[in-house]
Amino acid sequence: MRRRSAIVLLAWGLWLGVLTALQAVFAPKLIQFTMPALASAVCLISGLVLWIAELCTPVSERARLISDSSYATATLVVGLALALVGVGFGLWLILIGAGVSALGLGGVVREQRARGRTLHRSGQR
Amino acid sequence: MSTIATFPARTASLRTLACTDHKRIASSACVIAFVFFIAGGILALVMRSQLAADGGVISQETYNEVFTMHGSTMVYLVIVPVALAVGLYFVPLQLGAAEVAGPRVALAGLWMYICGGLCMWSGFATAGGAASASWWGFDPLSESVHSPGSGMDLWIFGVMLATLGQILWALCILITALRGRAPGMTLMRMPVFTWTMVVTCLMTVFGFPALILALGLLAAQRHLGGVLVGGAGAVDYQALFWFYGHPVVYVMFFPFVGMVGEIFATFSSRRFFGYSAFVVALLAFAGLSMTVWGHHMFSMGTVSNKYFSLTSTALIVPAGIEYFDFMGTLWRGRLRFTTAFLFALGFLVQFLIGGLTGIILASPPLDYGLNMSYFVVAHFHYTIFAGSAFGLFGGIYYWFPKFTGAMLSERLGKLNFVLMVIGANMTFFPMFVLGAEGMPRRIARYPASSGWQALNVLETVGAFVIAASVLVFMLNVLVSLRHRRPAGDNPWDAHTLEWATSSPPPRHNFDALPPIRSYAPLLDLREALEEAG
Repeated sequence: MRRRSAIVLLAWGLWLGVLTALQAVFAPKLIQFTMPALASAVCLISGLVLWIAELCTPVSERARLISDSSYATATLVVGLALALVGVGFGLWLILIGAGVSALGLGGVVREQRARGRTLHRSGQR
Repeated sequence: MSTIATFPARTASLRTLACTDHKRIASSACVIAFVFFIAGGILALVMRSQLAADGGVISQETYNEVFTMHGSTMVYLVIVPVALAVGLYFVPLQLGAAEVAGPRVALAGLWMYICGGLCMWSGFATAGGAASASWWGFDPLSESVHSPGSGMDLWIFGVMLATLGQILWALCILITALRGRAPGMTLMRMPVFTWTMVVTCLMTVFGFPALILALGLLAAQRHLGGVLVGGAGAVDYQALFWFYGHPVVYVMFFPFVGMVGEIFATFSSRRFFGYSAFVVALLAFAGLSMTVWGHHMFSMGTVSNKYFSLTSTALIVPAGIEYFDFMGTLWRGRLRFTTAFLFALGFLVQFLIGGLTGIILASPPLDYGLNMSYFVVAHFHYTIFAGSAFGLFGGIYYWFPKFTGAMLSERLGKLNFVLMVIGANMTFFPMFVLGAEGMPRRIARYPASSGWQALNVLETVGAFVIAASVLVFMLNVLVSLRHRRPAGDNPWDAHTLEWATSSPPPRHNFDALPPIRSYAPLLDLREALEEAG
């Protein structure tokens, strides 16, 4: 089975492009024109990528394996948040955040490897 | 349909914080958003008490912090997250999917939202107090010269984190809708609510990054300088902010339009009227809403007023189609006046007031006079509270049985509705009058000779009536969960797929799916059974 969902992104990106182009009549400032033009372009490109993906890969009907919980993801995000706040509060917080993030990232890799092993055992890979 | 194998959880309590089930993530987000709603509501009561007492409760500086955190909390931490969280819960269910796309990404979104909220509110614990440069962080007021404390930094990073989390949720929902639908669920068979979530996510994914860029520049300006320089820098910040700031209004609107659409179809026992026109109108509406942001800058003379006035006024067309479809759905329906239906009706009428006053503000000559007055505050609150919050409460009363497996009390629900209608109109309608008389927004005191106190007292009484109605809602939830009245799978005889599974749904959402031949598969099934005798 194939899907034709890309049409949503392509149509909407095109509509946004038309509305942006309409601005030309009103002599817009650069920033006023650039932002919707960028949004329109990114939407159209996403639509094209999805369209190609839909042509190349039919929707998978096979079983999916997902973890029920991911402590690593939560740890990674908390670390990133600490590092971001550290931009305003000093290097010490950035370093703590980076350390926590590294811990979380390691956990995500571990979860992915465990998933791979399980899929391998069940013969789906 | 794909099946899911799961790893066993370690402990039940820790599981909630790290669960990758879209329903658990969404439920956690809703509970956290409700806590923020109460906190933001308390700030609103403080503000209203200050204005009723004409400046006798808190200082000007504290008032600035209070209105900034009230607006920021309600926009960044309550309405937008709830709108997306409800989508995260129900879009996979309405599409017959076993899981949301990118469950870990959705979990990351939840944690970004939590970290962002804590970050923003921790500003109150700093020596200089919380941020006080309004919910849009006015530049240059938000620069280090005028807002030197770390509260402003915490606000900037908090808003960035919360917004990033919302973008991640929107990506998950959008990809689920585009790639994760069950066999037979074509685009034009997606339920109305799912379509509203698709356009909401389009605006979130393509509009919200502008806010992260604006706040990144603001943070750089505060710590490095030379980024947002002079008047041009301030105008550029505003342009970036409003490119986010107007689409976000529709992100706070469309999901509730979808909820109301589902409620009307269910409680009038009819198919949704004009489905195709509604979908096209939604897509057109969402595109237009990305190109109206300049109307927030009419009075600055730095944008093309004619263009933005044209696009802002053009919004009437898709909005009119949506209202027409609502009326068409209700027309000659067998109406059931449940609490959910009453809230949906409240949304329909009160949002109309917010929408029509928006047309006034879309006209530059009128906006010059009304900009920065209480008229704008009234318009905004009629759209977001008297409109969207009513839609949200309608959605809660409609989907609570699916969330929890228990029915809410209709008697307490109707009391909740009546109090909220009285409170909302008593609070926000006088603001139109005060705005037209010239009362500026964001003031902690006003001249005694202005004659504004009587209406301010009335508004404050209204705000406390809203608080009473929220207390009734909390009581209803507690009583209903304590004395559970089992809901069953489909207590309302609703039409969409989420009602084809158990209440609450299992981890994998569905054991089996009915055939999908339209956007109302359960109604199809019922009609087929009736025809077969």
